[in-house]
Amino acid sequence: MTSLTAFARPRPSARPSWAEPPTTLGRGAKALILTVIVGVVIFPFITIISTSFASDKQIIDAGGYVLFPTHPTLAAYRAILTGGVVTHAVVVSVGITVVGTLLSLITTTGLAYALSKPGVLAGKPVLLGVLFTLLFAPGIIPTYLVIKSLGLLDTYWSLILPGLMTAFNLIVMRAFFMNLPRDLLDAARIDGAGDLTVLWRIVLPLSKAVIAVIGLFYAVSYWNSFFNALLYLNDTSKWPIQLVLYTYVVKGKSLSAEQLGIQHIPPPQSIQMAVVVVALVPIVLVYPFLQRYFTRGVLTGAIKG
Amino acid sequence: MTRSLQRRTVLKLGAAAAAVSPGILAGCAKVKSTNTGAAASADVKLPTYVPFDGPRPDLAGTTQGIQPGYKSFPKKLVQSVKATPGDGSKVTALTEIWETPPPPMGKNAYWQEMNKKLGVTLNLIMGTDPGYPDKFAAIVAGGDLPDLMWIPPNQGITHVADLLTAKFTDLTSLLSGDAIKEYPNLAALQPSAWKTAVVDGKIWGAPIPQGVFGQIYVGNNKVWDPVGGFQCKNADEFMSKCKELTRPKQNKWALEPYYANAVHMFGQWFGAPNGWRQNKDGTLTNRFETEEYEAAVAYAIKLRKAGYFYPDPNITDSHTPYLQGKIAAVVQSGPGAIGARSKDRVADPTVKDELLIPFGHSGGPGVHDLGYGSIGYTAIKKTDEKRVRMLLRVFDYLAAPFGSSEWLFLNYGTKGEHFTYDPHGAPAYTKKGSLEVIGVESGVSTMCHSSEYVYDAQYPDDVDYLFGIQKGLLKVAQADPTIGHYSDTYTKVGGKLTNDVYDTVTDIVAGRDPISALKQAVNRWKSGGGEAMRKEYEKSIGKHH
Repeated sequence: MTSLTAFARPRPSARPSWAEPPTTLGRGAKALILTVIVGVVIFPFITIISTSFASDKQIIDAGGYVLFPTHPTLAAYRAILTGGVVTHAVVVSVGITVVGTLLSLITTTGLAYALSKPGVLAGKPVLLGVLFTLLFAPGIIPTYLVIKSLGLLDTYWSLILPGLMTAFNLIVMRAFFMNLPRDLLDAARIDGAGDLTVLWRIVLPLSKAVIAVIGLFYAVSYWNSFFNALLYLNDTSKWPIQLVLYTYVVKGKSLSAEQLGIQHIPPPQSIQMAVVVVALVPIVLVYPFLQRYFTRGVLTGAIKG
Repeated sequence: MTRSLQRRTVLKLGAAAAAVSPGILAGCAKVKSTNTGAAASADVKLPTYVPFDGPRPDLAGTTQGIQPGYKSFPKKLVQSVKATPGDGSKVTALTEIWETPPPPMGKNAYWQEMNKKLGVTLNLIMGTDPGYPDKFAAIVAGGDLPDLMWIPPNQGITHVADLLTAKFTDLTSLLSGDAIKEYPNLAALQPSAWKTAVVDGKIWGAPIPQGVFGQIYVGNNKVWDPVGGFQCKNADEFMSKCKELTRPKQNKWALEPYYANAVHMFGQWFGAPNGWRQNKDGTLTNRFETEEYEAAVAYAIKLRKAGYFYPDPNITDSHTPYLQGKIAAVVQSGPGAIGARSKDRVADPTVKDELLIPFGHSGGPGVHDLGYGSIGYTAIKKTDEKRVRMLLRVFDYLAAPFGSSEWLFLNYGTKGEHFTYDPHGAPAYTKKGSLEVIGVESGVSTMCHSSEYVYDAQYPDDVDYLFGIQKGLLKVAQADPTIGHYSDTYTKVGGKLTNDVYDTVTDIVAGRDPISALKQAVNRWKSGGGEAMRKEYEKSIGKHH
């Protein structure tokens, strides 16, 4: 009876009937390997976070990095947040990431949809043009000259427009769109929907996964915007967090606290790690919200692309 | 905060030196203008040196490179600039900052006040390192050059001679010889600093002085004192002290593990040349080709095999273990080494950094490889002479020496707002000062600043100590005979070739390659451009002697 019930309503996660149950040793080995991998991934994060809270003495005693702060202190965070430079840079980065990601998604989705439809006017040449940029990326100086001639130097647009659409993301999204059931789109057309309606009402709701993934790719690349900022932004007040972070971590190592005019100098290492945490947290916070789409989206793009 | 003046300046320059060096740390001694399109500084009359007639230092400096020493902050400052230099126009400058970025001009009272004092609206384009050469190249390619551009010696900017001729102003007639006297603060810059600014026999900009000293071994006195101090008489004594200091079980090691830098230090004990040796017949021999350099590598291998180097060669920060006494000696650039005491006293007031004066490997004196004396120069875009003179007056302000009221403003801002005097009578930043001044000052001082000095109000004895050390180093100093001479090949591949040899040296000392690999590396260096460099230098030197 029991076996009959199990047969009738198999649990989706249940092992196929033909598979052997895993041995205890096998499960133990898997657990061990996974634990080690997770440990290797998480260890640097914990070290960074712990060091950012550690006291001067502990960091010196430990030789640079701390795993468990015995006397946690917020001195490093106070130090970097009082100047206003870091907070402003975070705001700049958030702005660029949000606006850039939205614009990138709009343009990428639009073009991918158009190119996914057979028989679109000049579809092939446009697609080839896009693929061409995958093979031959423009160099620093040509890009700089374009940005300059468009009058975008020293504007936030210089961080957004050059990377507005990347060929890889476009191809992945196009592949996803091409694999949507044709009948569904035709049905909508029969019901009188135009291209925009089809895109908005049919395609996009079916493509949440790929949009989430591509959106995340774009967001991460905008958030990590460093070299473009270095080249195109002369006004330091427009610098995004990654560039400011860089000056903290690489430069004036032992001077940051002095610059901030605080009497008790927190250990430079903790200041560096605090800046790393500040730079990491916002983008890490986005992941849980996208996680449910993430695996599906990546797989879809990967397999069908 | 008392000593922050000297510490900050020196650190910044140390950082600059490290940045421009081909090696892991600092090869200041090896820093050479990549452009030195200098058909010869020998051809041009360098600006006449007129020392600053300001507050008397406790220990007078010399034109050979000993920096004046001050044991207290001067009570009476001298006004070194008589009239506002600028004409109210906008001036843009590409420079580099070694600090976190300052608040923008609109929100920065110090920057605004500086504009008033300079008489210009100074827009700074702030680059960072690495990244500066990319920004430099992009701006040049864009064609719309800023008025002033910092040209660093060895960050990989190439074709500088052609660029200067095409786009920048030849300042020779305005600065050479006595003409410099129109700009007294520029005239007070150490003569050694000007050589970098000479390309193709012409002066192209205002230099950024760095002090003449090259890489130096710095030792933690608390570690070395129990074994008889850091100074040694010969290589055997050094080795036996290293043996006493190395205690792996206690996690204590004698030397930091940057082998190429260590070999450079040992080379000074074995008498290896500073870059090149000029033979009696006028030919040149590179230090990599000499027996002395090979002997230094062999000596380093001995020390490594004995386990005296810190065991992790990939350690990124040797300074913390140095302060902890876990690493007894580290190699620093000249400015970094001279500023080391002051800096390390902040972390631990009981640490008195000792600077090693090179000794002969079997006794007697060794040699100290001098550095280049500057971290480059700032050139002026082609424009009319009136504007060029105005921009030179701006440089003159920026070069205001220690002891002048302009220096105090540039480094500390406005009294009461950006700084107050501490109990030692020295300026110390207020919170606003530290926020507004340091980033901007880092940028403007990379365009031009005063000559070096040693100042320490809190530990005046350190001033005496450093004065003595500088004297000792100068006694055994050797200059690179090719400095001020031009090699086209060097500008193109010099840095890369040197790094390739350093990589092999590191592999040899680490035990991954036999010492015979050095000869192969030197052969690669020769065929890759070393021979061409030799010929070009020989030709240039021969022409001017």
